[in-house]
Amino acid sequence: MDIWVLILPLVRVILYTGMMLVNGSIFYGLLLGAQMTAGSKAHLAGLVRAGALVGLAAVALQVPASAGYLGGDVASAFDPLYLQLMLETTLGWSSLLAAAGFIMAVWLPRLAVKYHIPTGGLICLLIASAFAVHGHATTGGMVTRLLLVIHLACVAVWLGAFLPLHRLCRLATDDPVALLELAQTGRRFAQVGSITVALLLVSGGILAVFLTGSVTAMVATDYGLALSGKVILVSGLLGLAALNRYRLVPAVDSGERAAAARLSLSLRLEMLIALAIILVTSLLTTSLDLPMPP
Amino acid sequence: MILRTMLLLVLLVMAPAAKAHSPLVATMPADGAVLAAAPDSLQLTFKGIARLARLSLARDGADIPLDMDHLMQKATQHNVPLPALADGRYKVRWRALSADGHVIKGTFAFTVGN
Repeated sequence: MDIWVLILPLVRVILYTGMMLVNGSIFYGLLLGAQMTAGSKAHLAGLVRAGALVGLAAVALQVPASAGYLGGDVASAFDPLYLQLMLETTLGWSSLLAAAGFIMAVWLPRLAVKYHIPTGGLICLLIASAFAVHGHATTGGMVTRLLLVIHLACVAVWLGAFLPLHRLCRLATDDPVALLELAQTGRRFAQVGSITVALLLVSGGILAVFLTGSVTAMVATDYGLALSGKVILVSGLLGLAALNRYRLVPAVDSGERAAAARLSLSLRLEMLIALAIILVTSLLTTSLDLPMPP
Repeated sequence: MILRTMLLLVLLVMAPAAKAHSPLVATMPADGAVLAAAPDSLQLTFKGIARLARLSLARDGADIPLDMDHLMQKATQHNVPLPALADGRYKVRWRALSADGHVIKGTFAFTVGN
């Protein structure tokens, strides 16, 4: 058993989690910041900082983990030759971009979530670009790389809202101000979410076609099967999102406190599915190889 | 203005990443081949440029020492000279660094004699 087949995707999961926390919280602040209380803003800044630290840890681990996978043993993870080889690839450039974005996020978390588009935008761009300059996304040239940046931005908008919304749901059960903020934010998020999900599905679909090369490869290869599993998980997430949008958010909007508790449960389920999606994506981008072109 | 600047920045930071994936496309001997005579070299051909990082040859689980001069070189085709091989079933394990920065690996086997 090659231990790196497990370690590399785990490091990737940590990196994706850092990215979702930082970019997701920044987008949440930029898109919904006008309706946030000071407490919500402080919470969001805390999420940005925590995500940035998680992301930095993953950046520090991914080069040795890749070197270990290349050499096939533990010693290779610390071998200067293997480390240099990995740093000379696009992984080096990717790590640099991600590190720059996460360091900015550690220093400027409050600025990043306070409508300061240049700061927040730059952090998000640096981190998202780090995923687009290395790995399978580079296969289709600039088209697939730009598609991936759009895809990741949409994922961050969607998944990044889970934790702030979940906090509001918990507070809303006995705090009328939080219930009002939840209702306003939920309404606004429903509008933003529709556009985001549409963009996410289109960019993800085109990327899948580019990377697998054919519909047959979606069921005939390990990579395609994992990608199909991801599509099924995303469908589950869409079902819960629809429930939130058409049932729970309108109920919260009409002042039903019990609906906030149900929305909280739905969000917890969404976070579990999101974690499964991140796990599958990490396998797709590390241990599984692209299908051979026909 | 901000959007245009951001877009320009994305294009700039992503410019150095024009690299292709380089999967293994062929080996000599081919996987599963039965050869009357022992080959004098192994040949691994990748779709694009790849660095061969590890290569091992084993007969019945016992490793056979190989000339490692070919390792770490950038090429689409890697030729590895072999020592004289006795009849038997051989397994080759390899790991390489694809041009897009991905680590790729695999195994193939061949038999010499009957």
